[in-house]
Amino acid sequence: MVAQAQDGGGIVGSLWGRLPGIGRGGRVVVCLGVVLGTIGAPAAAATVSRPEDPTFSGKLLATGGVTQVEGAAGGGLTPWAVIGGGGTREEVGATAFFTAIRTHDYGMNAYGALLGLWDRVEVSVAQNRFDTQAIGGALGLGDGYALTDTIAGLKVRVAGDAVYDQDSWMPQVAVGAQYKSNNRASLVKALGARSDDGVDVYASATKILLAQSLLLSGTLRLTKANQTGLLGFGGADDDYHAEWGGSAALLLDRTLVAGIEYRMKPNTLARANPGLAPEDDWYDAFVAWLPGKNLAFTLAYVNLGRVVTPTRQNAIYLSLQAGF
Amino acid sequence: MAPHIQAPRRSLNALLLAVPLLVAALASPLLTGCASGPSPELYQTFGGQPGLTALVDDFMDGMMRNPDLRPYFVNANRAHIKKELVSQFCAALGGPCAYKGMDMKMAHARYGIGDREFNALVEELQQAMDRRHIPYAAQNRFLAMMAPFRDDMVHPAPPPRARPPLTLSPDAVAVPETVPGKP
Repeated sequence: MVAQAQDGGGIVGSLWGRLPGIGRGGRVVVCLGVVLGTIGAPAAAATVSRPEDPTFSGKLLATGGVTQVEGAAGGGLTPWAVIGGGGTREEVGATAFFTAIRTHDYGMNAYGALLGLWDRVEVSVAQNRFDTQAIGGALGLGDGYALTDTIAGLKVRVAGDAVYDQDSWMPQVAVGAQYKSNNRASLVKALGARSDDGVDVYASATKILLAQSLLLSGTLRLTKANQTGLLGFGGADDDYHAEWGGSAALLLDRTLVAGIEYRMKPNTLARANPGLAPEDDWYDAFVAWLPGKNLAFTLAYVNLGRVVTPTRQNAIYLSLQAGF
Repeated sequence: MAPHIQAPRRSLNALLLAVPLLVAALASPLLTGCASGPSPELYQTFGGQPGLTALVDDFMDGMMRNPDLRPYFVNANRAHIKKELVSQFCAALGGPCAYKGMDMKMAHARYGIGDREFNALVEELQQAMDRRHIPYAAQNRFLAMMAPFRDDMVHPAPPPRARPPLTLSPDAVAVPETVPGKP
């Protein structure tokens, strides 16, 4: 191959070799003329091509979303069908995030990282550390007793393009799974949960209605998790529950997105344990600022409803995401 | 206690979600001027023909400064491309023009353009529109009409990226005596 390229065989050489029947007449001259014409064309346009070296962060600003608490690219509470990170179909990308949620009674920190592969596959890991603060002491667990949920996620884009399919109603669709493992198995089982680990599966559809500067996203999740897994899995039953989540956001300018989210959750643990307050759905209103391709800040007001105690937990949510 | 409280709470929460959703859905067309698709009003937002000419000049200057895009235009007939872009943008926006240029697929087939390059082009266009003070909502209405062209221009799996060197050894071809102009 190398020798052929060096002696100038190339395409013509191999053609020549494969077609010995061609006489050295007019056809060869025609062929030569085409070759010379191509070399001599002033534009030399056909030689323009994508860079050979890997590139990064080719995605349009903000189209990888931010990171939801369980580590998947999305809004703050529910995943979107987008693949996280700045990678296009030719690229890979990655982001890391840190989210702090503070209610009157509790604190939760979520942190993790994800890898986006060719705008097709997203692999993520995250931890949610839920600090019971003084409530832990009141329940006899000790002040500042914390439950930690470790989450491994996988998401695959199966169809559509949320940004570019503007001539159809087809949203971008992705399916995903999140394996979650709680570090306080004995506690969550004592509270009535069936298991300390579980798998959520979900399908998301996300559409940007660009002419309206509007983003809409919906997620259907099958889950057994109590408080997303912070209180284990299963309770009164050990069945999967279908739960909806949705986001609606306005694109205010190229770096600013504001919207609302809603996430439904099952209520199986409180049905098994009447001592616990029922589990409520979560909702929030958020503003995300993405000043560049490598950085995103999200500020939200979140209503977590009742968590163990009858008090409704209104929270401030602050999230930082960095990546490429 | 839980089950019969659960139902009304859920519907209340669903309502709480639905109201801002509806407001957002209704408000956004108002913000964007109540329409999508081409319209003479949108064409005027872009400054009519003089505005589009200035926009496309600025757009091309931006692309020539962008290392991802410069190679595609440096040897091209930029004056011609700009003229075609003005008529294409004018037609898309709802101005009194018809795009009669090359089919977009044909024009880009041989370049092996990727998502990265196409997105870089979109960003240069957005920046040019920002410099022309075109409101963001009007920019998005325009971009929504241009977005479907991506599939004509981007080839996720481009043909071989670099052409092998084409040189012929002196004795590779014997040119017949009958060829006119033979020295």
